[in-house]
Amino acid sequence: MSGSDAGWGTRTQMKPDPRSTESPSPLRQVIKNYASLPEVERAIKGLSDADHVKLMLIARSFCKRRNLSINEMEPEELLSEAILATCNMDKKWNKAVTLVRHLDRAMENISGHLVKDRREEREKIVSFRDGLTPEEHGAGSSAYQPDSQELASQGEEANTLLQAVFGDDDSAKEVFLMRVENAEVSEVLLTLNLTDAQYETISRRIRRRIATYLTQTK
Amino acid sequence: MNEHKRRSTDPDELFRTMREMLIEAPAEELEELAQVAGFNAKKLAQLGRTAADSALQQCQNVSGRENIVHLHKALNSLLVMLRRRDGLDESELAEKADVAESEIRRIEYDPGYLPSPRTIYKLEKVFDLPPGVLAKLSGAVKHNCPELEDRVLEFAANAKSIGKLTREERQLLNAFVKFLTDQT
Repeated sequence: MSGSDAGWGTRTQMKPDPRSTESPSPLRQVIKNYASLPEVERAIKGLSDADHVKLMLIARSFCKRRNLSINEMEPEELLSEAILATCNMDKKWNKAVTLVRHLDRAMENISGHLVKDRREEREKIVSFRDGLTPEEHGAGSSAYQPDSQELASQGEEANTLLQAVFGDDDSAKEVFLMRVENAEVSEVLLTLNLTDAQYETISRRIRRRIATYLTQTK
Repeated sequence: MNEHKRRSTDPDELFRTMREMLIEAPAEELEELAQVAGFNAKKLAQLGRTAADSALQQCQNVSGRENIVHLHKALNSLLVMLRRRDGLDESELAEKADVAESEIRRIEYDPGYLPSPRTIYKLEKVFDLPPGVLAKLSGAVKHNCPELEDRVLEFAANAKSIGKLTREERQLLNAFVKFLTDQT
């Protein structure tokens, strides 16, 4: 399917409103930059098929990564919740970011809360079984800081994740890791001695690997 | 590159960058990406669109219900104030309008109650109101007045339910009835 096919990238996302020349106060600028309900509705209706594919791939990736069971939330429900929360202004859309990016963050937040609720529920059950109050059971948990063992385990998880996604594709892994560190494209090209065309080829390969990993594995 | 590897040990950060790179994908690549992930792109887009439509529908239902409740609250308050203006109690109003007293009570106390058009018509006659004034607040008649909701909320917030009308209440009542009349 090409980019010129009807419905694929033919509709553009709502762009942020151009700033007024009146130089309003910073607070007013922030307030003004949140989308109103009609703006949200218009932008959601204006999402292209490509945007919907991205959002659904992302929603599926959250469900996989956070192990959301069928009883908790399906990917389309997660997306629906994120849109509803945006319409209800529970998750306000700052128009400085694209709607797709905003919905990604909203889904991250909603699925994160689901996982937290699930963990708390489990703790309640354990504390009830052990004859402790939830406060006694969770004592000190608010001041939680990962210890060195947990940090090592995080590092291990990250390495496993990188291995699962990139395997032996070192050039893709290197470009990806520079992106994780927020490196500019020019910096990536210079550091890894790549041409623009090589960078594009690798980026495309990375996206293929990510799409495969995010939606097909836990 | 070792420095990058050493610093990037937060799996959530890796996951976020993965999503970020998917978001950046050009539109013409999406069908291929969906395919390698094991999905049909058109079906996936359709699922996304259905999810979005369902959310928008829910949002419209909620805001529609909220609007109706606001209108009904104003209808309750208006009816009480009109009754007080004319010195009628609930049973007297019911008799005069030829409707059940229980229905008058429900209109006055239950914001979720939708009175029948016939009852509304009878009440408009009793209070000598232009046709459609009360109907607008029952939600039975659609309105295109963006100001209505603000005026309704203002009226409902300031309306009292007992005793003889004060001069301020009478002014409030008259202004609100005039506003509704002008809208019909």
